[in-house]
Amino acid sequence: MKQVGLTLIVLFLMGFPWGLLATRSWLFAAASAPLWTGLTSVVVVTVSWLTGTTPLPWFLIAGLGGWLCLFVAVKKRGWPEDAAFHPKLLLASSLFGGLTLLGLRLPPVGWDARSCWWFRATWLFRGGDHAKQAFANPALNFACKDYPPFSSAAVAGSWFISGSIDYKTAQVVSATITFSAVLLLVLILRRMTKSTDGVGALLLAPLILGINGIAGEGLTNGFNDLLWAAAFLGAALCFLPGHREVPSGLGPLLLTVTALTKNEGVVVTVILVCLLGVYRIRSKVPLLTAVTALSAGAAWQLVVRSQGMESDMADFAFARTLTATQIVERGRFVLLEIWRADGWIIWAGIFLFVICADSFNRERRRLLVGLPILSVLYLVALWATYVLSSALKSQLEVSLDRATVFPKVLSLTLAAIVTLQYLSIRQERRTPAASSESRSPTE
Amino acid sequence: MVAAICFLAFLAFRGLQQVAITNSAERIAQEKRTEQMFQCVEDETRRLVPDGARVFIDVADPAWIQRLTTIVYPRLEPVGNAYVGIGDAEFAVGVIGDPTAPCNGLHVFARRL
Repeated sequence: MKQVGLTLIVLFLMGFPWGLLATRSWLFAAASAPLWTGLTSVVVVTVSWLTGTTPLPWFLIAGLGGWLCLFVAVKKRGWPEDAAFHPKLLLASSLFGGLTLLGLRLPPVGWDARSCWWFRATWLFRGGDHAKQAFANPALNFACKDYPPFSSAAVAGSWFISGSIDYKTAQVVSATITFSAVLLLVLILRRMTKSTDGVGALLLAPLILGINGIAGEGLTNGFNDLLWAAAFLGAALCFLPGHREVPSGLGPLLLTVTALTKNEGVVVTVILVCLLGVYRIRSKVPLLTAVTALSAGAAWQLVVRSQGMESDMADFAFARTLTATQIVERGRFVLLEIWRADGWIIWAGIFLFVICADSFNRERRRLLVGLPILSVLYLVALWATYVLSSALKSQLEVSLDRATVFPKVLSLTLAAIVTLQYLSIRQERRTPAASSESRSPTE
Repeated sequence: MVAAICFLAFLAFRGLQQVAITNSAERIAQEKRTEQMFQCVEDETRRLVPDGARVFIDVADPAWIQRLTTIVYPRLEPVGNAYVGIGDAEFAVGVIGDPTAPCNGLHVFARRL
């Protein structure tokens, strides 16, 4: 327990300065701190892997470097001016977050977590040379070697701090970084819709509980599907509606986390980059940062492919043998299975958004439509992956629930956006003078 | 808006239900049994095979190949299994179902190659 507590403190302290530097907001810095630490861990273990050195000194350099940079920045620009304490949000996130995090009472035996993410973390924990050997060992091929390193690196980082491999610590760290992404998604929604602390606190309940219901035990069992889904949605909200209220450093962070967490994250990042290109958003910053985040994920894919590792899903030799009739039959079967896996949630959210779309102004509607488009394009990619998979039934059985977490959470987010939009319209009607003063020119 | 609120409320209710399922005594007991089984298999292999040995995972079931590999690693070095081949292993390590065995009905075996 002491080990877990110490790890959590370091997880927060190590990422906090980077968060404050990037967001200039106490609230967002605190919520994003675990993700910044995770990103630092990726850099550290990659350097350690490439140089064949022990990661601990690199970790110390990264940790101290963050605080040094913050010290210099504060001397130049002063401390951020936003409120450091939000009692209603803190209370709501503690209450509902605490409720969902009760799942940590379960022992850390989640199978994908043990065989993929934490297993690979043990290689990274043992240093660059050991990791190189393990990645090259064919007996360990089942450990999803082609998957990006974010979660494994964050767990390995926590073990450097505690000094030993401990699965309970791994479970707590995985849950903390996932919860951080979920919390950021809610905070971005609140900021985007200019909701008050009270409305934000109210929003936390259905969103956090709803996400918990969609992801099953995905928040606390060490799986990463919820992590990339929440991080990506947060990033998409930062980039697509182009809102100035959300700190500019958050989008790049969340998108990089997405691209470095799972292969599906790389796919949706590619889709987002294409959408940003199509939208021709005036500022080039979102597109450039999205491309940079994508490059991080693509770089990992290149490294692992160059080492001869392959995806367990993509079997091109098998795909070439399929006839058109087989593809149609498999396609129909996959669609039916997606519907059976609570697929109605996906379409219900999109339907709600479509029928309420006229409540948004034209520009905002044009940008927000990108969200359901993202969902549909992801589903097409997912459908195609399953249809072409050589082990269709077993893949559907073990992964469909998890693979559809993203479009379901997106659906929930759309419903929240619609609700908040109506609330803000009602608020504006009640206080027209005040709202016309505070309305931003982009709206 | 009413539909959106109902949708949010329904999903939130399902989330609450999930909290109850996750924290039910039955679910916790089930996962504790799995954890005990992992620990027991690890202790048994520790008793049977010296630290650092190169091992062949001698199980046919792919799920158990993975399980056993992660349980014995990194104390033992898996160098092969049914899919990879025997390699330069020193020991073959495996599990077989046995209702009388101590590890939740699993018997761990190891033999020198």
